[in-house]
Amino acid sequence: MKGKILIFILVALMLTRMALAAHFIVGIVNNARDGTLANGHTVVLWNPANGIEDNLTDIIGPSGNSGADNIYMLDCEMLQTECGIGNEIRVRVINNGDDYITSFVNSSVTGAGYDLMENLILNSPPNITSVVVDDSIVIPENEIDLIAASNRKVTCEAIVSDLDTQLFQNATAEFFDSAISYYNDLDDNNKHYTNDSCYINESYGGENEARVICDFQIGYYANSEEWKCVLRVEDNLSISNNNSDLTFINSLLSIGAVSIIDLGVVSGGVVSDELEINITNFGNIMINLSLSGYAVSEGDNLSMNCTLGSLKNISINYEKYNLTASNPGALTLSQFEAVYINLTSSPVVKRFGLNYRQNDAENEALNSTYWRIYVPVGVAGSCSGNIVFGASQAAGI
Amino acid sequence: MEIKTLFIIIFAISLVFAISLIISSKENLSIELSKGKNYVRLNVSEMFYVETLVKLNPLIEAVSYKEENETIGYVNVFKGVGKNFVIQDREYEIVAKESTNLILP
Repeated sequence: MKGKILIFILVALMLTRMALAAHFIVGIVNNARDGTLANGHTVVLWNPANGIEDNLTDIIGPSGNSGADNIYMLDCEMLQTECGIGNEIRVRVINNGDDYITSFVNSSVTGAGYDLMENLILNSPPNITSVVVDDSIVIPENEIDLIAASNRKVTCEAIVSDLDTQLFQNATAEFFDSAISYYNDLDDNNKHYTNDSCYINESYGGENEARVICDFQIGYYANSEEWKCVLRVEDNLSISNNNSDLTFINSLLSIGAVSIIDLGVVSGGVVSDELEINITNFGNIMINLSLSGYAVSEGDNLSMNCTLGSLKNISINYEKYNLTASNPGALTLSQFEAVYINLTSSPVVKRFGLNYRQNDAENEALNSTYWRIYVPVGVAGSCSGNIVFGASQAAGI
Repeated sequence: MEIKTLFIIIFAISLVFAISLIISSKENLSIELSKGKNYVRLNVSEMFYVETLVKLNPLIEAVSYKEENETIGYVNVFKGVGKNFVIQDREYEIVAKESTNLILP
């Protein structure tokens, strides 16, 4: 019984002493190289063995525990799991919203009255001095000319610097139609492109500088609008900065059609079967269709020139089209003339209203046109001619 | 637990605290700090700041006390950092770099 009482007394005495115990962790945080003061920023202390959830914080400078410029002071015995001799302690400056932080320093707790941590320096966020976005055609500036049915390489590049001479761990860029899209929008070839791994040339310029190059393959159907490139770099403490540049994507008027049209074998005095020809919008604006034809040379008023027979030419008026509806089956000449429109030697703009491509998965920007020819009696042999399809912004008839 | 046993425990704890207080008050006359942590009650007739105490005793590394679950401390580094509190009649933790006799102002 006496032994138990003695142990109880000793424990009570120890608890009184422990309640008074303190072990201070003191350190210096130097101002950032861009001149930002460390005072007022917050340091956090934790024991990695117990996780950062069990932590202590202090304000650097006169308003904190130390009361002195650039110095912090924490009692690690105030952790939920008190620090002990030999424990690893880590300290770093956390982000108070201005992106000035530090990496962490660590130290082992000693039996001395305090432990002095290695000096920290407030990290300066990376700086982007210039951003330029353009295609390979540099004149005129700030204009991008797309390529019909293909992609145009657009480069967004910047000179970046970091006063802490750290490596940049990541550089990304987004290029988007500033009228209807925005930073962090989803990618869509009409309005938004992302490059998540831009090239960082660390050997460029001085030791604090790097050149960041972000390429984009811009589709032919990207909106003709003002576009913005936002370039973002991230230093090795995951602190980022961004800057932007504007450019304009010019309109592209372009269509695609098959190069060879075969109307088949047609007897004299007969209207050919209907041939469907698909017209694809390979630009970035809605188009109407300009149509004309010739046999040998433009303006010859013929649709075909043939190799045999008493009549070696077919008049331009005998080749006809319908841009809105198919009329399958055999037709007489009068029926043919009633539902089809004459091709002409001079270009005529017809209302077609073919919008540019909106679907990245499949090309829906195509419409059918329907063609027939009447072969007059006396024509024989092999006939050939030309139909000229053109894209036009003009109002069609 | 018997009442007699409980009485003995309470009496023993009280005795320990009483002895501790007597020792602490006597320490004011000539307080010897050993290397490392010392728990010292200072009965002072005149107020003075901890900075003064540390300047008089450069072998002190840190002086602290607990108040409302918070450590108030002064550390003898970088010409003195921490709160320059007034020494009062209370118990402090004083950490000494080496054994020394505490000099009071």
